[in-house]
Amino acid sequence: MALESDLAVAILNGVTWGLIVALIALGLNLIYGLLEIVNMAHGSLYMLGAVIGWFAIDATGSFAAALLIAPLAVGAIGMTVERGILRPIEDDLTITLIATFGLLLMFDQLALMTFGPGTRSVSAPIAGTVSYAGISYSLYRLVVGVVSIFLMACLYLFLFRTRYGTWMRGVRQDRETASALGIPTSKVYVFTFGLGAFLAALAGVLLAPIVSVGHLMGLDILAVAFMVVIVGGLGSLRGVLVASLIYALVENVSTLFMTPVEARILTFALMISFVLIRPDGIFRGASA
Amino acid sequence: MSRTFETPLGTLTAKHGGLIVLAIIAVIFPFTVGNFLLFLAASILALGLYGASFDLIYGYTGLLTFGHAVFYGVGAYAATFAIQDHGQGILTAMLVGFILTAIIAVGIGLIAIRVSSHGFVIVTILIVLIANLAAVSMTAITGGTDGVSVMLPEFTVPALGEFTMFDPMFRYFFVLAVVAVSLLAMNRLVNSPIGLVFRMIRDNEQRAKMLGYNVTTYKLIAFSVSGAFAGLAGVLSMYVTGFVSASHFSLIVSGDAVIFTLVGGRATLIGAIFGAILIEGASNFVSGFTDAYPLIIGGLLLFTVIFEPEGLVGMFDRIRDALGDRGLLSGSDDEESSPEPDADPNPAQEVTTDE
Repeated sequence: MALESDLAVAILNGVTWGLIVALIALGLNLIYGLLEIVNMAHGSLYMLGAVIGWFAIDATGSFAAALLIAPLAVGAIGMTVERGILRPIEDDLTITLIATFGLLLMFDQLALMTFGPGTRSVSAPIAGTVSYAGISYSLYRLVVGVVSIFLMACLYLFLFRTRYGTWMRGVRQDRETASALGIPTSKVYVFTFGLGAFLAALAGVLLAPIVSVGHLMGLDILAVAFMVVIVGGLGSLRGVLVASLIYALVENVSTLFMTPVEARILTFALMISFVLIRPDGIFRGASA
Repeated sequence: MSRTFETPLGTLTAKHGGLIVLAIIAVIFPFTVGNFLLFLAASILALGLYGASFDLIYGYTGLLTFGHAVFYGVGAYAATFAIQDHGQGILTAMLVGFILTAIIAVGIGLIAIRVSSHGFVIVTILIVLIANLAAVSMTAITGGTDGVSVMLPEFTVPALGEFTMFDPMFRYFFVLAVVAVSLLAMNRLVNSPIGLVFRMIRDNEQRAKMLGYNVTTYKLIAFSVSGAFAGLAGVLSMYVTGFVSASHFSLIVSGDAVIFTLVGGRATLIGAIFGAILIEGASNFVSGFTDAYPLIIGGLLLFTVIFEPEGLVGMFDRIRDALGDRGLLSGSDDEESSPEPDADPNPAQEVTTDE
């Protein structure tokens, strides 16, 4: 019985964690799919979301305020970075990758200098647990999972049901033609980078009560986000969601049998081996 | 580059002259400074070799890897185990580190090269992160983040006697010798026919394929050789500090190789040494006043890729050319008329097929 309820909790943890990882990785993959930029600083944008969120909660005492302020601030940082730094060098994939690595170093160091070296915790705005069939589970984690699903649904509707989303998909398919048809491609680029940063920061604030907030949390999530993007397929949004869920379920279930570090090594090794079978990701060559 | 000097030894170009000056500085320098600077110089040389090994794969073959720290760490650990657990000498341990990293590089390369070029870099990032997790968690073997200290054995030089790595002067010259030989070997490779294929893959992979070269094999060769020299650099760094820890396997250490190469100058090999001198020297200097040097290094990296993509070596070349144009550098007079040897008059030679 104990093992069964542990397993149920591990699966629930896997699903909520997978959904939030997907939210972060979708931003990364959206930026890659549209701008062809491998954003090494994506984890740092997530970290900045959590850190700015912590400061906002500290100043206002309101989690809702943090949920609004941090993603908007980080989204603005993302837009500035795209416009000011990446725009002149965006044609060369390796150069933008190296530039975003430089940004990673700078963001992490800025966080270290303002936030300090330690980690801090944020108390969840929703307390309590839900009990069902002998399993009790944190209500806040369930809410995070539901919010992630809601946000992804919004992203889907935005990309496939609005004019701006159609523009984005059009620019991605053929930049020249899109530009010739009057789509403001440079605005679309800035917006996409800002959106990716916004989603990462939102995930950072949502996760702040679950993980500990610190200047190094970006590197950790960067590894995970890159992995699900590779396994899901570069540029494939559907693949990212599936890969995130598989990754989080495998990792959370295997922690029942081994230490968290061993579980992570095992999961990473399994996912890397998957790349040998399908180098192009789960949905080979799929584009949405 | 076109300036030549007639000497009793033959014709020398300005490039040779620069290298001779560097060599003389490298040999005289240790007699003028104290032990700390000798230590710093030896560790910078090891890091420079590490950067140059990255340049071999990135600068010449065009494959951006962010996983170079894996080889650096494996080399250092392999030599540590060879000395500590198997009682091997300095040279054998170095050879073990070199060969083992070459083998591991083939294994990693086989996975990473399968993925498309953009996926390649991400797979290498993941591999360094897995290695980091493994090294941090397996404390019984690796000592985790606390690391392992190594008692380095004595080393006998024929006709000169016994030396230890704890002698700063010997340590410096030992590292200098290994780095110089490695750079010469790598330079030989990149200027050989194989090296030309590397550059063709970098400049136009499709053409290389069309001409019948097995691109995957050449990439694998470049990756393994590069990994092996990175491993050698790891061994040297362990010889300098007598210490190795799990933090050798980190994304930041991988990034160091990228930074040295980019700041020094891509596809130059020697540039990585300049990059290491500048970055490591500056961070040692700056860390005296502030702990914000990652901020400065990150900014420097951004500045370099945006404004000075050719790095320090490119900057030197430009300054020298500017001085040469004004006649400020003496040399033979035919510099205006002779074409730059590096500038291929017809780089994009069309491949004609006669069907």
